[in-house]
Amino acid sequence: MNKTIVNNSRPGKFDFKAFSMNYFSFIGLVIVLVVFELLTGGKLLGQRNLMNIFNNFFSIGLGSMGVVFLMSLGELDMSVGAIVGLSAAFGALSARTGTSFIFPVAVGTGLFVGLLNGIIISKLKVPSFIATLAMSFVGRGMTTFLLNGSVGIPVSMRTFDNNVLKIALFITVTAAFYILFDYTAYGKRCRSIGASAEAARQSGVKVDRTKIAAFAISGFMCGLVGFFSLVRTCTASAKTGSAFEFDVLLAVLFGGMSLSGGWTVKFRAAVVGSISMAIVYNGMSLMGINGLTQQIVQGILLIIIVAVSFDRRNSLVIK
Amino acid sequence: MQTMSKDSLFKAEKINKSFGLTHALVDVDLAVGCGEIMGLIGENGSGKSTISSIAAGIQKPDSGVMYLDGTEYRPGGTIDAINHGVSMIVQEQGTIGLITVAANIFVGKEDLFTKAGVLHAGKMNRAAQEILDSIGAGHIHAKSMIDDLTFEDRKLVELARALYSKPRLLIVDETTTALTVKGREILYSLMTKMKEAGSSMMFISHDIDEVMRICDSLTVLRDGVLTATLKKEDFNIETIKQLMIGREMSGHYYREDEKSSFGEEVVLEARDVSNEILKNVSVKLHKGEILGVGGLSDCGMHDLGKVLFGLIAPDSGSVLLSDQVRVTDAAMAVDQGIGYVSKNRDRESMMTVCSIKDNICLPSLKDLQKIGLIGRKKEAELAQKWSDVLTVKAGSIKTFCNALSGGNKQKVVLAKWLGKGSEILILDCPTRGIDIGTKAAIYMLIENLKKDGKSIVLISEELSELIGMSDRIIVMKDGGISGEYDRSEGLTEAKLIQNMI
Repeated sequence: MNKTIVNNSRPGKFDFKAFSMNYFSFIGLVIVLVVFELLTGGKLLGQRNLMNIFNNFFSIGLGSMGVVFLMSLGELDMSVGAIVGLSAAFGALSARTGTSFIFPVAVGTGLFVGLLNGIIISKLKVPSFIATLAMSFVGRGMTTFLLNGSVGIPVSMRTFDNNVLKIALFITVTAAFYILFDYTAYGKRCRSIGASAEAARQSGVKVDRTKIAAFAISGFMCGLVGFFSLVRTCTASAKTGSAFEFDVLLAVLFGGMSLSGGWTVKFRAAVVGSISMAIVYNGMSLMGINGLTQQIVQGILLIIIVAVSFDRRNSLVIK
Repeated sequence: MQTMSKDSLFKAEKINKSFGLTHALVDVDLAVGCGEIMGLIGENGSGKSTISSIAAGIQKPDSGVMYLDGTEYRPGGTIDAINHGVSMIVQEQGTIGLITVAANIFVGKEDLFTKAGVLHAGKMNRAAQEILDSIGAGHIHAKSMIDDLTFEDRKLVELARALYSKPRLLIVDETTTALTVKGREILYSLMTKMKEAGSSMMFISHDIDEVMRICDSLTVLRDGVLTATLKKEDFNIETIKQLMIGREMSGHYYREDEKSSFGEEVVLEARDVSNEILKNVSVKLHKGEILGVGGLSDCGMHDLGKVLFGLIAPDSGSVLLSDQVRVTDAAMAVDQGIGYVSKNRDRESMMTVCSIKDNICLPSLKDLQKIGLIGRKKEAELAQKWSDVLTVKAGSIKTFCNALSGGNKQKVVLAKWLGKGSEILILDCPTRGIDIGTKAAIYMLIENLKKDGKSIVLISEELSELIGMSDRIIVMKDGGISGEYDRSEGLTEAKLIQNMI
């Protein structure tokens, strides 16, 4: 068996399969760009539309960067959308006390729910898919109950929906997370656990703590997304952040993220994948495709992406 | 067609096989006589597994012809091979999870117990139990789920499955490394029985003593080339080693000094440790000491290793460092300079789908940090340095570990702890399933570590290894310590065995 799992890369010979696997995300991005630029008759890359794409990308990108760490652990977070909703809801309610509470409350809510996810998964040993799916129900239920319809915040808060601020924030977060993922002990520990939790533990990695932190990061980012979604629309409703977990999952997978985690996970998956997905959504809207049809497309895309990109190298290893 | 001597059951002629640039087999000729147990030995990567997997139909040769009973034999796959009477038991786990033992034994043959589309499970279970009883593995229940069995018992189930098809040629590929003394005895006696019944066997093992004991003839491979075929009367351990490695083994294998030598200071101590398996175990490891721990596989020695490293928390008692600090968990143990090499290398000591570099750097991440950041250059330097010290054979430190041989993997695991600068090493069966060339290198390393003042706990199922390397040996039995010996006493295996059983 040993012999059959050897690296496929042959020196000196161009390996199309390895190349396309490696640059999966970029190839996807180029295809998406060209297809929608043609289908929308050039409207896609028009100056006015670029900002629309950015706004789409901003939320998906933040959410995706948030889940990179836990996905490199080989875990999933299905509660991303619900946390966005709940953060926005608490943020909106806190505005009654004072608008200065909105930001800390929204982000704090996200962080707290993320931590809770992490503790349930690592300490109570509930598989992350189940735990976060359940958390998603709890979060959604609470949001609907708390808001009882929708709750508005003062329109003055719209000043925070500022493109310069958002671009600056996005660049800062991207840089910080990239460094955290690729150049610190924490990022490397995440991937080690994804590669082999037991080997990581036996090399001195605190597995539980690392996991909890990864879910907290995801929760924190959802809090941020919740805040910006709130200030953009100035209302929080039961629909805020709905299906966001799907957008994020689709984005990171489109970016070439491996579902099994480990050392093959690349940070760029989050960024490149999010750009691609932002273009897909925006392009479909430009073409006048309605929301329901978009949903169908999303579902089909997800299956295709996973079928095409699944790294079978990992599944060959007999455990 | 060439005429064949009548007594050959299986014959391979001029078999060639390449994987990319590596020639795994070069013009290999092989013959197994009727009722013969042929041993196949060689270092890791010498081509033993390749030739046996070709015979078992797992892969096809690039060129060459095989004969079975004088007629040409070209297996289309493993099932086809089994139908021809050629079965193989592999090194890795070969059972199917989440189903019962009986279902594993009769996989693909469920029709035997099916009536009108309904499987008669009771009948199948009874038939499976009969087979298990007949091979002396009656302690395994046919109805149990395969996942509840130990690795060893799962191997025995595989054996039962292979025997059920009444193979004419049974290939046993490094199965014994996974087995305890008891499991090995079952296997040996079965092989003898099969031999008496006229079946032939190809037996692959790293353990030269074992091969010499049970094989009738021996074929030695080196770098894909057949170097010698020996008859039983020509078996000689030195000759065999030399044929495998292709050069004379340098004088010593184990340590040469006959006196024990170590410092006064106690660097790690287990004090009255008890849990489900261990019973009031107290052990002291001194500075510069090689402490051997031996016993039967289920005596608790592997658990002791894990307790010492903080992987298992004892129910009572404690593990203390020299400054009386308690070892509470593995992360803390690593910080305090303890390194641990698990018996289960691929699952516990290393990330296989990961580069050599990242494996070596993992415990040292904290030390590599500078204002919280880890530079690529520093990582590469550390990994390169220790991979060179241990002479890991690989293209570069970026090579993924699943492409390495067992011996090289173990070198990477050891490099990881040397890179961390661990002062105490707990090695659980560090030479398990490793060829003698690498084995000798590991023994030399252990000896050098001792000279540098590092302290080592050497847990092993190989008594010769314990006697050869240890300053002191603790023998365990049923979770307790049943004997303690000093190197100076002039130890023999017989002495140790007394305390083991």
